[in-house]
Amino acid sequence: MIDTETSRHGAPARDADSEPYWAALERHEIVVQQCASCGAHRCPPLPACPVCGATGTRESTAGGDGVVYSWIVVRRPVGTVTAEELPVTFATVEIEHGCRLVGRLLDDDGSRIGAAVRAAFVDHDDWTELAFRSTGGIK
Amino acid sequence: MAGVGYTPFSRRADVSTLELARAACAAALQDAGLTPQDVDGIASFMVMHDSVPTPAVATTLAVPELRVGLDVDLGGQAPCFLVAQAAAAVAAGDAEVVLVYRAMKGRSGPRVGAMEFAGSAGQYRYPIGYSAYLMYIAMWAQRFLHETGQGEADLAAVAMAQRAFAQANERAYRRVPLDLNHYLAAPMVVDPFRSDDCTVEVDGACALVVTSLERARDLPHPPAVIASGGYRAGPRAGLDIGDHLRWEDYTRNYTTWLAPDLFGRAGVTAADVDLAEIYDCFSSTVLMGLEGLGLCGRGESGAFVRSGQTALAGSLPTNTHGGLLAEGYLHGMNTVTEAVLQVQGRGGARQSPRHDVCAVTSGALMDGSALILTRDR
Repeated sequence: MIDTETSRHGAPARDADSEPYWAALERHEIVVQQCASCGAHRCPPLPACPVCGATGTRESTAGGDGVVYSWIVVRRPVGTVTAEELPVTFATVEIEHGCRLVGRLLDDDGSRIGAAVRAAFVDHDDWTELAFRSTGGIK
Repeated sequence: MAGVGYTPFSRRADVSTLELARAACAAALQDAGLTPQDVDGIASFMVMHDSVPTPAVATTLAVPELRVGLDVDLGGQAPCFLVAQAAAAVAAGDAEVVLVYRAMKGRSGPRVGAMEFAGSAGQYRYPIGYSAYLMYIAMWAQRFLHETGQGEADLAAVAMAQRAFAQANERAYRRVPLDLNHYLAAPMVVDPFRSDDCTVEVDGACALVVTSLERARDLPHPPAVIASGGYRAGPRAGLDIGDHLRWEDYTRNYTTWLAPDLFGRAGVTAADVDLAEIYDCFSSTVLMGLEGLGLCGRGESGAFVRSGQTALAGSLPTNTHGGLLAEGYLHGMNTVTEAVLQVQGRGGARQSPRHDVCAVTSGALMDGSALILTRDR
């Protein structure tokens, strides 16, 4: 499914570390780094491995399947979320290789901790957002 | 610690943030029986430049000379850490009398909860609207409640117990009694939090005075002795205070990592603690702190609070000022000043009957600090 939307909150402030991640999302892919020394995966990108400190890095692509680790529903305007957006569900999703990312859970069907979700790439004018949709299963 | 000082907590202070800081520090010195001429160290913290730095306060108080000036870019993790650093400076002979303060217009000025924190992790949060500290804490709380088998009645118990304390605290911002029906009647803000689970932001300042035990013994109030203090950032604590993606377990915060060292260095155990002042920007952090410090068992904090153990007549009076939930959000500096008052026996109508050993914490998620305070024995 292709999602397109006007961004409400502005584009991400990309930097040298994150550029490959955002470029991959624009291709509707999730790029994950793997430490060349200890093998630990990491995403979003970091210049070195947070497990062992080594800088040598390989890149691979993660599949779009994930599992909800935790979730919230924003029901009142908080932070930059406006009344028009409510309610908004955000989920912390464990994707392939164990990396966790936060994204909006689109079309929230009440799926909660342990629910199977799949990446939904939302194209904005100048960047692509990683969101998720429930696939109706439990893992 | 020899004394504490406060300004009023209000919706809108009609003085500057500098004057709030000065007034709280002056009040703390007066409380301790000292003057600005005695001060040679000041420590404070601010987030995204929302306060005034220590040399500004030294200048305004007419402190003759500052030997220790410590300004840290930290949030609610800072108060216990700064007190521990002040104590270390005194122990090392770097300073004799150190003020520690927090001054902020947290209600009418910059609101910490809605700040976009500096750091490169913000690019993964702010463009999607994942943009308030409340949301990050809620994300942990949901997992915590799920894994430990606890729920809204447990959060409600925290808010209600602390509101009861606030009724005995004239400084508290929220003093209207809270029962379960009122709690549940309020709409959800961000699951699992209703408005009474959230701190109430205020304008104000508070301060305390750290000096050597020998000197404190000659001052008007009995000293609150710093038996131990420390800071912990657990592994992969992230790039800023809202970056929790690489933290492994959202059901255990920094208190789990800090507790063994904290108690070990103080020479006490969790069983020795008479009362606790647990950082509570949101209700869930009290439950997590009680469990993390081992003051109750894993998954048992809600039942502990519901059974009245954290009330004045319970086995562990907790957040005796009403906490940040009810007294107001002075960013946990008021959590420490309350601990000082309690250990000194100056809690008035909310005084814990037993106050030999007090555990105090600062911070909610990946990193934070804590103190063990004792009476002078």
